[in-house]
Amino acid sequence: MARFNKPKLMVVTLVVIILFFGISIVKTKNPVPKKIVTTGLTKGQSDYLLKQLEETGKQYSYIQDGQQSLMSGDIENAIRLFEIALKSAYSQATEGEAIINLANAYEKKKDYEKALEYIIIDRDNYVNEWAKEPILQRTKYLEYASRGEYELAIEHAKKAIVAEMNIHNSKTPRSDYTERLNDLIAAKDYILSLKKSNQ
Amino acid sequence: MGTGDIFNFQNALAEADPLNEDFTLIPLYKDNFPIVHEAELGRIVGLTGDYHGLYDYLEQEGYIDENGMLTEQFYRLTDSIELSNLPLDFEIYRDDIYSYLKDLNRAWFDDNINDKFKGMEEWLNKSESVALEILRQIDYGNPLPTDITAMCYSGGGDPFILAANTWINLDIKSVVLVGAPIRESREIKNSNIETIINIMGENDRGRKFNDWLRRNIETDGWKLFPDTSRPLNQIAIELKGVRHTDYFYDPYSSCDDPDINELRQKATRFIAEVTHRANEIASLRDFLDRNPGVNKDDTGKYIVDLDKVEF
Repeated sequence: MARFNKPKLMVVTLVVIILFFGISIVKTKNPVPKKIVTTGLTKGQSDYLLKQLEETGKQYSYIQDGQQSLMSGDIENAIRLFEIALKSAYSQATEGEAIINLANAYEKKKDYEKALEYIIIDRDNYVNEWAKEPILQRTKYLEYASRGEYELAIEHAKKAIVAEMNIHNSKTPRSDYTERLNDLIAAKDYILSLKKSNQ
Repeated sequence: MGTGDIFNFQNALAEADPLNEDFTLIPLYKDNFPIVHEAELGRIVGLTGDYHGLYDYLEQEGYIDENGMLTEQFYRLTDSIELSNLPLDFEIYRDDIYSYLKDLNRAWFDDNINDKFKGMEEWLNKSESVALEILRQIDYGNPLPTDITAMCYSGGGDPFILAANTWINLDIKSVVLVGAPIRESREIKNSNIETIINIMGENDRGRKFNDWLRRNIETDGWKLFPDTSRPLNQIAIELKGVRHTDYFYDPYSSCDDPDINELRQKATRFIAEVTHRANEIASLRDFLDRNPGVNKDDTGKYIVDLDKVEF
């Protein structure tokens, strides 16, 4: 009677698993370390997907790098990268993505007028109708912020958070929206403290 | 195992076309879902009863399609009382009609699916260590890769989640499931996973599996894991006109119909774009919110018309 050879059995099982699913890992060429694992594709599907990942990943890597720079406080570099992303955009959606990120960067810089310019471009040309409400609220609060009317700006920034949660059926506010609200509150407090010290 | 930037097992996979019945765990591509035959309705209303009328009723209310195949509308039923607009003549048969359809479905599952599920379950129990071994063997060195995005198609989805659940230190940040049926009992136990994106084709018959396995999925924004106790971003995306075989283009096995090839190319590219953004939910939303082919329904599901998406 043939005896089972354990290591052999494991190797056979391993081959069967690979044949069933196949697992591939793609390290994209993005500077930000990122790994994509795929399962269940044929060789041809995998090859074609990889080509699409490479083609679409280059432009998005500028967005990712810009967001990293923004998070680390290097706003000028973030703006530079988002502008490259805008120039290398290949579709309306990727253009819109670069525009909204430019608005975010200028708002972080407290250049509310410039941020408003980009938000208006986004509102009028890119964001879908069903997703417009948070952008409409953001347009309002940037208008108020650029005039130094922080009370009203804060009110509409709060409305933008709620609108964003509503359209995405989300129970928690989006962190970047909350951060922008906190920045506005901080700006208002700063102005108030200046006024107090002048008195 | 791999060269340059690409590590893959795909050479070994050449024979493992997921559309090949011999290798597919679940035959999602098959067109043989349970069918109601008009004459058999005589079992309910009697051979002299109006079984033609009953068949017409089921079709009119959308419980069966023009071929008699049970539809999504049927899979949404949880009780006989939910049979809508039942004519008065059939009211006394309400429970019988419901039971008949459910039994038909159950019998079909027993014949066509359960054995495969049993086989899969048994296989899955053995698969953990092997699946993890595959991942360990990938030459990334130490430390292990972080913030992994997993893009899992069809029968590759559920086992991958099982593997991720077992190897809880595996740092998978997001999972993009494409046309992937998920077992009823499956939960997300790997605490690194922050986001699940469920992409399904409008005409993917595999959706019925998730209707059946993960009941009431459609009432909660098509979330695959509605009862999860920890924060988990869940995004559902429906691709209009896409069947189970249309998510990915295969240049080595393209279709004779150029329209279908184009649809598959567009679907692949869109899935690639979503996969890139899967780890950053805000970026993904910004991208989808500005994509002219993307709409949203009342449940929160994104509806994508690939013909309107600009690539």
